[in-house]
Amino acid sequence: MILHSGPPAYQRWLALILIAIGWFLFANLAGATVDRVREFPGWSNFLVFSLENSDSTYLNERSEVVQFSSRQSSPTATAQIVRSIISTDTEAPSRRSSGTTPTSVFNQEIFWPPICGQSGESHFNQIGQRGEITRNIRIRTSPSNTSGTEIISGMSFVIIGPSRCAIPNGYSAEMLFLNVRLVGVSNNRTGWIPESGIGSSGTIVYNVYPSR
Amino acid sequence: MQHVSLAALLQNTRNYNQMPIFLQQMLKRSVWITLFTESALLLLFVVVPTESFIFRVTEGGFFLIGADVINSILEFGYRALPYLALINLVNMFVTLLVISISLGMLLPVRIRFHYLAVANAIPTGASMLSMAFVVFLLVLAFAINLIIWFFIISIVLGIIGALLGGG
Repeated sequence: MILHSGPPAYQRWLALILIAIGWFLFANLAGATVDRVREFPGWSNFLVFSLENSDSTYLNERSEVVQFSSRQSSPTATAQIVRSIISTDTEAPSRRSSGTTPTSVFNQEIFWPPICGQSGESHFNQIGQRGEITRNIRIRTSPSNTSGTEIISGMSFVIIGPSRCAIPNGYSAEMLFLNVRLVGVSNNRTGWIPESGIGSSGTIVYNVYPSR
Repeated sequence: MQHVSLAALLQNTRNYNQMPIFLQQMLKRSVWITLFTESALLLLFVVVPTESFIFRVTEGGFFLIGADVINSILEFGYRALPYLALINLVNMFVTLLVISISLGMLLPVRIRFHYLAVANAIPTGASMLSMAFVVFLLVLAFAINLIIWFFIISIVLGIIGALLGGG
């Protein structure tokens, strides 16, 4: 009498290989999906458990929110050093202007920094240019301010003045801030918004894009 | 050699076939389809650039009417995407679990895994249906504008033809 003892060996091996490929694909997709989800407005802190961001962590919207609560209460040693170096309203010179542009010229001329320390290439270089906000960010009264009103993605804005490179108080990353007026808001709020930052994967993440 | 009675053998056996054969076959197909659908959706979600998700239309170009409706649908889809992606991710985990336990559907599994597979297919099916509905609405808006353009062009051509014929 012959008893059926299950599928042939080659089928088992084939199934095992396929299952291994499936789990490998899942592992990769899971990480990539969570990263992508974090790029959506309101999801920037999704599954971010570490509150001990090192000061070398580049500033992005995720770390900005986390550091917001942790740094204000207990800044790390490096943060204190950075704060002592940076005055309360210091605006850092841009990468291209540092060392070459005299301070007087920098202050007197309208200068549009094309890039800052930890930002991407700017897409904005003229007053009146319109743009759209694609991630949840804060609009601040000054580039060096860490606090501000949160604005959600989907809103539009108009550039009302030259952008600036600045290191917000308590941070070690230099960002490019746009001087904007929000469109469609009842009180026509004006302020400064960060154009871009460096995400967790080390790539530039843009918070705003020019309108088409 | 030890002999075992049929009654004793039956007492020690496990009955895996508590489900009709055709349902089992459907369920197997459903699990594979669910796996491929989830993989494809997640791959699309990861590969397509974020800028594509914030694409919006404006009235005045091709879209003569309904730009607001289209933008609302696109906005809804944009807001729903993270939820759909995470649901699909969890579903993919469950699907792979079922497939691993059954060794690629080669081994029989307990009835609870059948129920798990059925439950797993529901969210994926729902997300596919909702996406299909959204795409249907977008295609409908596109088609309505296309029909309007067709009428406009027909009328203009008719007027030109009448003018040329009258002249």
